[in-house]
Amino acid sequence: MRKSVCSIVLTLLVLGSLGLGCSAASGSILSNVTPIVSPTSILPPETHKEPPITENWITPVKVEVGNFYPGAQAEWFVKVHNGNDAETTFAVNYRFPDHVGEGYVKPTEEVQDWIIIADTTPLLAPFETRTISILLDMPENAIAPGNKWEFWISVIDTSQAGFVRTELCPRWLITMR
Amino acid sequence: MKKKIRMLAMVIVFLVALVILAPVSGVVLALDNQDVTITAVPSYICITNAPGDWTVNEYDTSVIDTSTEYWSNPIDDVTTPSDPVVDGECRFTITNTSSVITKLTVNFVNFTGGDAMANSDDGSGGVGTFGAYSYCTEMTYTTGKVIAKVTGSDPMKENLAATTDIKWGLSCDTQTDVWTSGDAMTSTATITATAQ
Repeated sequence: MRKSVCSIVLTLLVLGSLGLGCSAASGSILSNVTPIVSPTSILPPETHKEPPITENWITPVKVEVGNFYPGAQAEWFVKVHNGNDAETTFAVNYRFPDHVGEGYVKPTEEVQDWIIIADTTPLLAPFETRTISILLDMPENAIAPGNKWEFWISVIDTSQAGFVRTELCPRWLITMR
Repeated sequence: MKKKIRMLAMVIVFLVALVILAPVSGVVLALDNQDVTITAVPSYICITNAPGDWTVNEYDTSVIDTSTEYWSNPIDDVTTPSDPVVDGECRFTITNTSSVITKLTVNFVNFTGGDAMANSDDGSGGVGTFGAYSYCTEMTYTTGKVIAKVTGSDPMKENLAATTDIKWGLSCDTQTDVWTSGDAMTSTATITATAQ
Protein backbone atom coordinates (compact mmCIF):
# COMPACT_ATOMS: atom_id res chain seq x y z
CA MET A 1 0.00 0.00 0.00
CA ARG A 2 2.74 2.41 0.95
CA LYS A 3 4.67 1.45 -2.15
CA SER A 4 1.62 2.18 -4.31
CA VAL A 5 1.11 5.57 -2.71
CA CYS A 6 4.79 6.41 -3.15
CA SER A 7 4.74 5.41 -6.79
CA ILE A 8 1.64 7.54 -7.37
CA VAL A 9 3.27 10.54 -5.71
CA LEU A 10 6.51 10.05 -7.64
CA THR A 11 4.66 9.72 -10.91
CA LEU A 12 2.67 12.87 -10.20
CA LEU A 13 5.85 14.73 -9.32
CA VAL A 14 7.55 13.62 -12.55
CA LEU A 15 4.55 14.51 -14.66
CA GLY A 16 4.19 17.82 -12.89
CA SER A 17 7.83 18.66 -13.58
CA LEU A 18 7.39 17.74 -17.23
CA GLY A 19 4.34 19.93 -17.45
CA LEU A 20 6.07 22.89 -15.84
CA GLY A 21 9.09 22.35 -18.04
CA CYS A 22 6.91 22.39 -21.12
CA SER A 23 5.17 25.55 -19.94
CA ALA A 24 8.50 27.23 -19.35
CA ALA A 25 9.73 26.10 -22.72
CA SER A 26 6.57 27.30 -24.37
CA GLY A 27 6.94 30.60 -22.54
CA SER A 28 10.44 31.05 -24.01
CA ILE A 29 9.26 29.91 -27.42
CA LEU A 30 6.53 32.53 -27.21
CA SER A 31 8.97 35.30 -26.54
CA ASN A 32 11.72 34.13 -28.88
CA VAL A 33 9.75 32.82 -31.77
CA THR A 34 10.89 34.04 -35.12
CA PRO A 35 7.91 34.84 -37.27
CA ILE A 36 7.88 32.61 -40.30
CA VAL A 37 7.08 34.53 -43.41
CA SER A 38 4.68 33.01 -45.83
CA PRO A 39 5.75 33.16 -49.47
CA THR A 40 4.52 36.06 -51.57
CA SER A 41 1.41 35.37 -53.51
CA ILE A 42 2.17 35.57 -57.20
CA LEU A 43 -0.36 36.73 -59.72
CA PRO A 44 -1.15 34.26 -62.52
CA PRO A 45 0.89 35.05 -65.66
CA GLU A 46 -2.09 36.29 -67.67
CA THR A 47 -2.72 39.14 -65.24
CA HIS A 48 0.90 40.20 -64.81
CA LYS A 49 2.04 43.09 -67.00
CA GLU A 50 5.52 44.44 -67.31
CA PRO A 51 5.77 47.97 -65.90
CA PRO A 52 7.07 50.80 -68.11
CA ILE A 53 10.77 51.60 -68.09
CA THR A 54 10.42 55.34 -68.73
CA GLU A 55 8.05 56.08 -65.85
CA ASN A 56 8.36 55.93 -62.08
CA TRP A 57 6.51 53.05 -60.44
CA ILE A 58 6.42 51.08 -57.23
CA THR A 59 5.58 47.52 -56.26
CA PRO A 60 4.04 45.79 -54.34
CA VAL A 61 0.86 47.82 -54.04
CA LYS A 62 -0.31 46.12 -50.85
CA VAL A 63 1.42 44.19 -48.08
CA GLU A 64 -0.90 42.21 -45.83
CA VAL A 65 0.50 41.13 -42.48
CA GLY A 66 -1.50 38.55 -40.55
CA ASN A 67 -1.28 36.93 -37.10
CA PHE A 68 0.73 39.88 -35.89
CA TYR A 69 1.36 40.56 -32.20
CA PRO A 70 3.38 42.81 -29.88
CA GLY A 71 7.03 41.77 -30.00
CA ALA A 72 6.77 40.43 -33.54
CA GLN A 73 8.47 41.66 -36.67
CA ALA A 74 7.37 41.70 -40.27
CA GLU A 75 9.83 42.57 -42.98
CA TRP A 76 9.07 43.13 -46.61
CA PHE A 77 10.19 45.60 -49.26
CA VAL A 78 9.16 48.27 -51.71
CA LYS A 79 10.64 48.26 -55.20
CA VAL A 80 11.12 51.75 -56.59
CA HIS A 81 11.75 52.30 -60.28
CA ASN A 82 13.32 55.50 -61.56
CA GLY A 83 11.74 56.23 -64.93
CA ASN A 84 13.91 59.30 -65.48
CA ASP A 85 16.91 59.29 -67.81
CA ALA A 86 18.92 60.98 -65.08
CA GLU A 87 20.09 60.12 -61.59
CA THR A 88 17.18 60.80 -59.23
CA THR A 89 16.74 60.86 -55.48
CA PHE A 90 13.51 59.48 -54.08
CA ALA A 91 12.04 60.13 -50.64
CA VAL A 92 10.79 56.92 -49.02
CA ASN A 93 9.01 57.47 -45.71
CA TYR A 94 6.35 56.25 -43.34
CA ARG A 95 3.02 57.84 -44.29
CA PHE A 96 -0.06 58.33 -42.19
CA PRO A 97 -2.90 57.20 -44.48
CA ASP A 98 -5.45 59.66 -45.81
CA HIS A 99 -8.04 56.90 -45.70
CA VAL A 100 -8.09 53.22 -44.83
CA GLY A 101 -9.79 50.07 -46.03
CA GLU A 102 -13.11 48.91 -44.69
CA GLY A 103 -12.71 47.40 -41.26
CA TYR A 104 -9.29 48.96 -40.73
CA VAL A 105 -8.34 51.88 -38.50
CA LYS A 106 -5.69 54.54 -38.88
CA PRO A 107 -2.45 54.11 -36.96
CA THR A 108 -1.66 55.74 -33.63
CA GLU A 109 1.18 58.22 -33.36
CA GLU A 110 3.71 55.73 -32.00
CA VAL A 111 3.37 53.44 -35.04
CA GLN A 112 5.78 55.62 -36.98
CA ASP A 113 8.48 54.56 -34.53
CA TRP A 114 7.84 50.90 -35.35
CA ILE A 115 8.67 51.34 -39.03
CA ILE A 116 12.28 51.08 -40.11
CA ILE A 117 13.09 51.89 -43.72
CA ALA A 118 16.49 50.75 -44.92
CA ASP A 119 17.09 53.81 -47.10
CA THR A 120 14.83 56.87 -46.94
CA THR A 121 16.66 58.86 -49.63
CA PRO A 122 17.81 56.37 -52.26
CA LEU A 123 19.65 57.80 -55.22
CA LEU A 124 18.72 55.78 -58.27
CA ALA A 125 20.58 55.63 -61.55
CA PRO A 126 18.64 56.26 -64.77
CA PHE A 127 15.99 53.55 -65.21
CA GLU A 128 17.23 51.69 -62.13
CA THR A 129 14.89 49.57 -59.98
CA ARG A 130 15.90 49.45 -56.33
CA THR A 131 14.57 47.15 -53.61
CA ILE A 132 14.26 48.87 -50.24
CA SER A 133 13.60 46.88 -47.10
CA ILE A 134 10.73 47.90 -44.82
CA LEU A 135 10.65 46.46 -41.29
CA LEU A 136 7.63 46.62 -39.02
CA ASP A 137 8.94 46.01 -35.50
CA MET A 138 6.24 46.29 -32.86
CA PRO A 139 7.55 46.55 -29.30
CA GLU A 140 6.51 43.85 -26.90
CA ASN A 141 4.76 46.29 -24.60
CA ALA A 142 3.06 48.26 -27.35
CA ILE A 143 -0.66 48.45 -27.90
CA ALA A 144 -1.96 47.94 -31.40
CA PRO A 145 -4.09 50.74 -32.88
CA GLY A 146 -6.81 48.17 -33.41
CA ASN A 147 -7.38 44.58 -34.41
CA LYS A 148 -6.93 45.65 -38.04
CA TRP A 149 -4.97 48.74 -38.90
CA GLU A 150 -3.21 50.28 -41.85
CA PHE A 151 -0.31 52.52 -42.73
CA TRP A 152 1.31 53.63 -45.97
CA ILE A 153 4.82 54.02 -47.28
CA SER A 154 5.32 57.26 -49.25
CA VAL A 155 7.52 57.23 -52.35
CA ILE A 156 8.19 60.62 -53.98
CA ASP A 157 10.48 61.56 -56.81
CA THR A 158 12.23 64.60 -55.31
CA SER A 159 13.20 65.96 -58.70
CA GLN A 160 9.59 67.03 -59.29
CA ALA A 161 9.35 70.81 -59.53
CA GLY A 162 6.33 73.04 -59.66
CA PHE A 163 2.99 73.17 -57.92
CA VAL A 164 1.76 69.59 -58.35
CA ARG A 165 3.77 66.51 -57.45
CA THR A 166 2.82 62.84 -57.53
CA GLU A 167 3.20 60.38 -54.69
CA LEU A 168 2.98 56.60 -54.91
CA CYS A 169 2.09 54.67 -51.77
CA PRO A 170 2.02 50.93 -51.06
CA ARG A 171 -0.51 50.11 -48.36
CA TRP A 172 0.41 47.92 -45.37
CA LEU A 173 -2.62 46.21 -43.83
CA ILE A 174 -2.03 44.64 -40.44
CA THR A 175 -4.26 42.06 -38.78
CA MET A 176 -3.48 41.24 -35.17
CA ARG A 177 -3.87 37.68 -33.93
CA MET B 1 -7.30 -5.59 -2.98
CA LYS B 2 -3.76 -4.64 -3.89
CA LYS B 3 -4.61 -5.13 -7.53
CA LYS B 4 -7.58 -2.81 -7.21
CA ILE B 5 -5.49 -0.13 -5.57
CA ARG B 6 -2.92 -0.46 -8.30
CA MET B 7 -5.56 -0.12 -11.00
CA LEU B 8 -7.03 2.87 -9.26
CA ALA B 9 -3.58 4.47 -9.02
CA MET B 10 -2.97 3.99 -12.72
CA VAL B 11 -6.30 5.58 -13.57
CA ILE B 12 -5.56 8.53 -11.32
CA VAL B 13 -2.13 8.99 -12.88
CA PHE B 14 -3.61 8.83 -16.34
CA LEU B 15 -6.25 11.42 -15.53
CA VAL B 16 -3.76 13.75 -13.89
CA ALA B 17 -1.45 13.45 -16.90
CA LEU B 18 -4.30 14.46 -19.15
CA VAL B 19 -5.03 17.52 -17.06
CA ILE B 20 -1.40 18.62 -16.89
CA LEU B 21 -0.28 17.92 -20.43
CA ALA B 22 -3.38 18.75 -22.50
CA PRO B 23 -3.20 22.56 -22.15
CA VAL B 24 0.57 22.52 -22.85
CA SER B 25 0.17 20.56 -26.04
CA GLY B 26 -2.70 22.88 -26.91
CA VAL B 27 -0.38 25.86 -26.49
CA VAL B 28 2.29 24.19 -28.61
CA LEU B 29 -0.26 23.46 -31.29
CA ALA B 30 -1.54 27.01 -31.10
CA LEU B 31 2.02 28.35 -31.47
CA ASP B 32 2.50 26.31 -34.63
CA ASN B 33 -0.51 28.09 -36.08
CA GLN B 34 0.39 31.57 -34.85
CA ASP B 35 3.24 32.42 -37.27
CA VAL B 36 3.17 35.93 -38.66
CA THR B 37 2.13 35.80 -42.29
CA ILE B 38 2.95 38.27 -45.02
CA THR B 39 1.25 38.38 -48.37
CA ALA B 40 2.20 40.98 -50.94
CA VAL B 41 0.30 41.96 -54.06
CA PRO B 42 3.02 42.30 -56.72
CA SER B 43 1.11 44.62 -59.03
CA TYR B 44 2.49 48.12 -59.59
CA ILE B 45 1.30 51.70 -59.36
CA CYS B 46 2.48 54.16 -61.97
CA ILE B 47 1.03 57.65 -62.54
CA THR B 48 2.40 60.84 -63.98
CA ASN B 49 0.82 64.29 -63.91
CA ALA B 50 1.09 67.20 -66.31
CA PRO B 51 1.46 70.07 -66.22
CA GLY B 52 3.11 70.46 -62.83
CA ASP B 53 2.37 74.18 -62.46
CA TRP B 54 -0.67 76.37 -61.83
CA THR B 55 -0.72 80.11 -61.43
CA VAL B 56 -3.98 81.13 -59.86
CA ASN B 57 -5.98 83.38 -62.21
CA GLU B 58 -3.35 82.87 -64.91
CA TYR B 59 -5.97 82.78 -67.62
CA ASP B 60 -6.95 86.37 -66.75
CA THR B 61 -4.52 88.78 -65.17
CA SER B 62 -2.73 86.68 -62.54
CA VAL B 63 -3.75 89.35 -60.04
CA ILE B 64 -5.44 87.58 -57.16
CA ASP B 65 -8.37 89.20 -55.35
CA THR B 66 -9.42 88.38 -51.83
CA SER B 67 -12.73 86.60 -51.17
CA THR B 68 -12.64 85.10 -54.64
CA GLU B 69 -12.75 81.51 -55.79
CA TYR B 70 -10.52 80.53 -58.67
CA TRP B 71 -10.42 77.28 -60.62
CA SER B 72 -7.68 75.64 -62.63
CA ASN B 73 -10.17 75.78 -65.47
CA PRO B 74 -8.60 76.46 -68.87
CA ILE B 75 -11.91 77.86 -70.06
CA ASP B 76 -12.07 80.55 -67.39
CA ASP B 77 -10.42 80.90 -63.98
CA VAL B 78 -13.57 82.20 -62.33
CA THR B 79 -16.09 79.88 -63.92
CA THR B 80 -17.44 76.96 -61.95
CA PRO B 81 -17.01 73.62 -63.71
CA SER B 82 -20.12 71.99 -65.15
CA ASP B 83 -22.22 69.15 -63.88
CA PRO B 84 -20.78 66.76 -64.92
CA VAL B 85 -17.26 68.09 -65.30
CA VAL B 86 -15.82 67.93 -68.80
CA ASP B 87 -12.22 67.48 -69.90
CA GLY B 88 -11.92 71.07 -71.08
CA GLU B 89 -12.50 72.34 -67.54
CA CYS B 90 -9.57 70.41 -66.11
CA ARG B 91 -6.05 71.73 -66.30
CA PHE B 92 -4.22 68.60 -65.16
CA THR B 93 -3.94 65.16 -66.75
CA ILE B 94 -3.05 61.99 -64.94
CA THR B 95 -1.47 59.43 -67.23
CA ASN B 96 -2.12 56.15 -65.50
CA THR B 97 -0.21 53.01 -66.46
CA SER B 98 -0.82 51.19 -63.18
CA SER B 99 -1.62 47.48 -63.38
CA VAL B 100 -4.28 47.74 -60.67
CA ILE B 101 -7.39 49.73 -59.87
CA THR B 102 -6.30 52.84 -58.00
CA LYS B 103 -7.59 55.59 -55.77
CA LEU B 104 -6.42 59.20 -56.14
CA THR B 105 -6.26 61.71 -53.29
CA VAL B 106 -5.22 65.36 -53.45
CA ASN B 107 -3.74 67.28 -50.52
CA PHE B 108 -2.99 71.03 -50.69
CA VAL B 109 -0.57 72.45 -48.12
CA ASN B 110 -0.43 75.97 -46.69
CA PHE B 111 1.04 78.76 -48.77
CA THR B 112 4.40 80.25 -47.85
CA GLY B 113 5.65 83.70 -48.64
CA GLY B 114 3.54 86.79 -49.11
CA ASP B 115 0.36 86.64 -46.99
CA ALA B 116 0.98 82.89 -46.45
CA MET B 117 -2.63 81.75 -46.48
CA ALA B 118 -3.25 78.64 -44.43
CA ASN B 119 -5.58 75.91 -45.67
CA SER B 120 -8.87 76.12 -43.75
CA ASP B 121 -9.45 72.41 -44.47
CA ASP B 122 -13.16 73.20 -44.90
CA GLY B 123 -13.20 74.36 -48.51
CA SER B 124 -13.88 78.02 -47.72
CA GLY B 125 -11.65 81.04 -47.38
CA GLY B 126 -11.59 82.99 -44.13
CA VAL B 127 -9.33 85.41 -42.28
CA GLY B 128 -5.84 84.39 -43.27
CA THR B 129 -7.11 81.14 -44.76
CA PHE B 130 -7.99 79.68 -48.12
CA GLY B 131 -10.31 76.87 -49.07
CA ALA B 132 -9.62 74.31 -51.78
CA TYR B 133 -11.44 71.57 -53.66
CA SER B 134 -10.28 68.94 -56.11
CA TYR B 135 -12.48 67.71 -58.94
CA CYS B 136 -12.16 65.45 -61.95
CA THR B 137 -13.78 64.61 -65.26
CA GLU B 138 -17.29 63.16 -65.16
CA MET B 139 -17.76 64.20 -61.56
CA THR B 140 -20.96 66.01 -60.61
CA TYR B 141 -19.10 69.08 -59.45
CA THR B 142 -21.65 70.63 -57.11
CA THR B 143 -22.05 67.48 -55.01
CA GLY B 144 -18.94 65.53 -55.82
CA LYS B 145 -16.10 68.01 -55.39
CA VAL B 146 -13.72 66.98 -52.61
CA ILE B 147 -12.16 69.28 -50.04
CA ALA B 148 -8.42 69.37 -50.63
CA LYS B 149 -7.00 69.52 -47.13
CA VAL B 150 -3.45 69.84 -45.89
CA THR B 151 -3.53 66.12 -45.11
CA GLY B 152 -6.15 63.43 -44.88
CA SER B 153 -8.31 64.48 -47.82
CA ASP B 154 -11.00 62.10 -48.97
CA PRO B 155 -10.35 60.42 -52.30
CA MET B 156 -10.99 62.55 -55.36
CA LYS B 157 -11.31 59.50 -57.57
CA GLU B 158 -12.00 55.92 -56.62
CA ASN B 159 -11.89 52.78 -58.71
CA LEU B 160 -9.78 54.29 -61.46
CA ALA B 161 -9.31 51.37 -63.80
CA ALA B 162 -5.82 50.21 -64.67
CA THR B 163 -4.20 52.07 -67.58
CA THR B 164 -7.02 54.64 -67.59
CA ASP B 165 -6.10 58.34 -67.69
CA ILE B 166 -8.10 61.06 -66.03
CA LYS B 167 -8.22 64.87 -66.09
CA TRP B 168 -8.62 66.84 -62.90
CA GLY B 169 -8.51 70.31 -61.41
CA LEU B 170 -8.34 72.40 -58.26
CA SER B 171 -10.14 75.41 -56.87
CA CYS B 172 -8.79 77.99 -54.47
CA ASP B 173 -11.07 80.33 -52.47
CA THR B 174 -8.86 83.15 -51.23
CA GLN B 175 -8.81 84.73 -47.80
CA THR B 176 -11.46 87.26 -46.83
CA ASP B 177 -9.18 89.86 -45.27
CA VAL B 178 -7.18 92.33 -47.37
CA TRP B 179 -3.71 91.53 -48.54
CA THR B 180 -0.95 93.01 -46.45
CA SER B 181 1.94 91.85 -48.57
CA GLY B 182 2.51 92.44 -52.22
CA ASP B 183 4.70 89.37 -52.52
CA ALA B 184 3.81 86.11 -54.20
CA MET B 185 2.77 83.02 -52.25
CA THR B 186 3.62 79.46 -53.20
CA SER B 187 2.21 76.11 -52.23
CA THR B 188 2.25 72.48 -53.29
CA ALA B 189 -0.50 70.06 -54.14
CA THR B 190 0.25 66.36 -53.93
CA ILE B 191 -1.78 63.79 -55.81
CA THR B 192 -1.37 60.38 -54.18
CA ALA B 193 -2.10 57.06 -55.82
CA THR B 194 -2.83 53.92 -53.82
CA ALA B 195 -4.29 50.57 -54.74
CA GLN B 196 -8.04 50.46 -54.34
